[in-house]
Amino acid sequence: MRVVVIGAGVIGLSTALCIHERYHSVLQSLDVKVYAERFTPLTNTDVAAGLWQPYLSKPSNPQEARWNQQTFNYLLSHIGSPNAADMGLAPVSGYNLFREAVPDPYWKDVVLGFRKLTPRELDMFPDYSYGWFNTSLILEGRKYLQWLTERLTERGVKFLLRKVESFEEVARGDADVIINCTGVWAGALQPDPLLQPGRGQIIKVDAPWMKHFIITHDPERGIYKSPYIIPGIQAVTLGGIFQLGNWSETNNIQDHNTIWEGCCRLEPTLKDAKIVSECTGFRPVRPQVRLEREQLHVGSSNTEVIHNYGHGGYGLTIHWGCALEVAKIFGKILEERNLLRMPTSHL
Amino acid sequence: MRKTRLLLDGTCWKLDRFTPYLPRLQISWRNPRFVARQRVCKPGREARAAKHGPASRGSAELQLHGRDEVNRSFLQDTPIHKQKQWFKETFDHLFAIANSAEAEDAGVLLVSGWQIFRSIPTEEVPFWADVVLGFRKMTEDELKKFPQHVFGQAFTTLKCEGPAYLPWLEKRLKGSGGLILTRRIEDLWELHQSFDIVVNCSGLGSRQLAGDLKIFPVRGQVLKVQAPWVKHFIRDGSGLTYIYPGISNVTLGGTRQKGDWNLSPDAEISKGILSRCCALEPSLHGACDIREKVGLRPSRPGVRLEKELLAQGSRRLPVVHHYGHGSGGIAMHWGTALEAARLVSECAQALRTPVPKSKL
Repeated sequence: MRVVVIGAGVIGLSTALCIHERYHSVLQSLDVKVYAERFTPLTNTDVAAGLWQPYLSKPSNPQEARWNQQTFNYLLSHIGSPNAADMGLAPVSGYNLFREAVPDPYWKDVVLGFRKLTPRELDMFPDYSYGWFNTSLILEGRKYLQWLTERLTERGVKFLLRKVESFEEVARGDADVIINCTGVWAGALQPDPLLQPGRGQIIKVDAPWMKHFIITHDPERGIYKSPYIIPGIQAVTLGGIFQLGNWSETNNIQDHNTIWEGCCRLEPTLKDAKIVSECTGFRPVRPQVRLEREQLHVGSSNTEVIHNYGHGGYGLTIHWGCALEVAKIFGKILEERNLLRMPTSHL
Repeated sequence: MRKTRLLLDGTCWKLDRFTPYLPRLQISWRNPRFVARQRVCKPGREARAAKHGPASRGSAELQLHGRDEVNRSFLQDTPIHKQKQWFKETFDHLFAIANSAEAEDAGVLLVSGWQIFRSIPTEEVPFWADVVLGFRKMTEDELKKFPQHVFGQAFTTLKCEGPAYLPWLEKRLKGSGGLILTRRIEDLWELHQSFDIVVNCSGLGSRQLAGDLKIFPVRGQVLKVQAPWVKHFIRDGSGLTYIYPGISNVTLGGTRQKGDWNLSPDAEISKGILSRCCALEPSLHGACDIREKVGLRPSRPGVRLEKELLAQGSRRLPVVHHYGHGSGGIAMHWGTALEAARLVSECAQALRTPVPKSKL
């Protein structure tokens, strides 16, 4: 069984790992390769701050809520392992701030210690009058991709720097099953009018006294268009940019000013923080994640494609739940082809 | 009128706070004999002190509650309402700094975390619960992270780091016209010629300087490590094991060794601290650049915060004692400093009032 995963961001690498972990021992042979044009540190995952937090409103696909929760619980189970920091994983607490009272989010019982902010806490943020406090997790994109790469390499998964022009070319050459994790660039392989870039720009600063995340919300402007401060393992990410349809990969000076002014206003202690780096990325925005199977007829054979893209600004938040779902679909494909060494249990 | 000259003995006074009490106070700092004294670690051991620096550099710097479960004798002579007042005043003072642009320079930061207990404590809600932010009991899910512990408190508090805070205070002091000089004082009367009021903040040095045998060291050894992924404090309710993330390192502690004056780190103790902390936070196995530090908590049944008029023949020397905070120095320093400032103003007031000669 030859599997090619296209895309080496968090979705591609975690899906590859999930499949290999589950099926390596039940298949006669499982050959997994990752093809990508960009590897860490050049993927969108590398730009992400890495805070586990879904959007505030319930997803249109209720499965996404379940995948978010599965991801949180999976990551939480690694807290308490000596290697958590190697994964880029650490617990982090912080504030979500609003200008008026809002209903609790659907994920309030997934995170730890969720509560409303007290008046004294709100005094710290004069522009806001309501908010939440909870403990969540940081999963730093860059560190996590490095960790995933190591785990995959140990398992003999190969990585190839390759610009894939079509599914057919991959099907003809190498693959029985293709996992399409091309993120925001999925449209190049198969047009998808529902997929759009949600351009983001972030500034990374050296501010080691910041131990909490602070995320502000402006329902009129929309998600990620309001300042946010998210401490990572080494640096602190400042953000607040979300531009639908903008493909510009260069850092923009106005966006820089928007981020800087917004975050310094929110947190005056940042005034003298040293800027470490600044980068731009594209959230693969879609009304819902495309996670489904598609059969390609290439010549005389059938190649299965499992799509797994369109995770917007919550890729790290939802990645493992999606990987598990892809693994389930993969398992079904194996069953259909009578490839499983051991009979599957009576599911 | 005679200038009231002030000796700053180890305490950094905020002089702008001082002047409302003494509108005619002038600080004479052009007089070359005008000296102030930095901390005395222990008389006769100045060389040691110079090597290890002031005790506040070694000790844990977390602003936390003023009383700990195990050591019930902590400040037993200081009434709880006083401790709470000082704690609140200090918290409010540091909170303002933490939210200002001075935070990094002053070494003050907000930090959240958990205090966890192996058995349900007698006092589930401590007296300082409404001073810190967001105090609540930990949920079952939160406690899962600590399988050896059955109860916990979650809250947000402040950390105030000595190595940054002290220089920051010194800078403000100098900016207000104060002078800081390093000098060894063997006897408070040495200062009588040059100064009108002495404020004694010599901690353990008061055994010699003030003949106070009630003050004794409680040795604390800690490790400072690099583990920047640790964003929460974790403290075992016994007070013996704690993990306090700071600006540039994480403090792992600790010990409470009564009557132990030894300033040299003990390797066995370091191993023990690392092992206990890794049990609470396994990711600390990846911590690196481990440095050992030792400090001696200036422990006393109560904080000594009072005036004393020293007399020798016809000589008089007003002294304000301000020492003996034990493990609660950072936690209560500003509150007690405010009170000490009031006492100093009372002394200055008394100096201006002529003493009737007929009495004696």
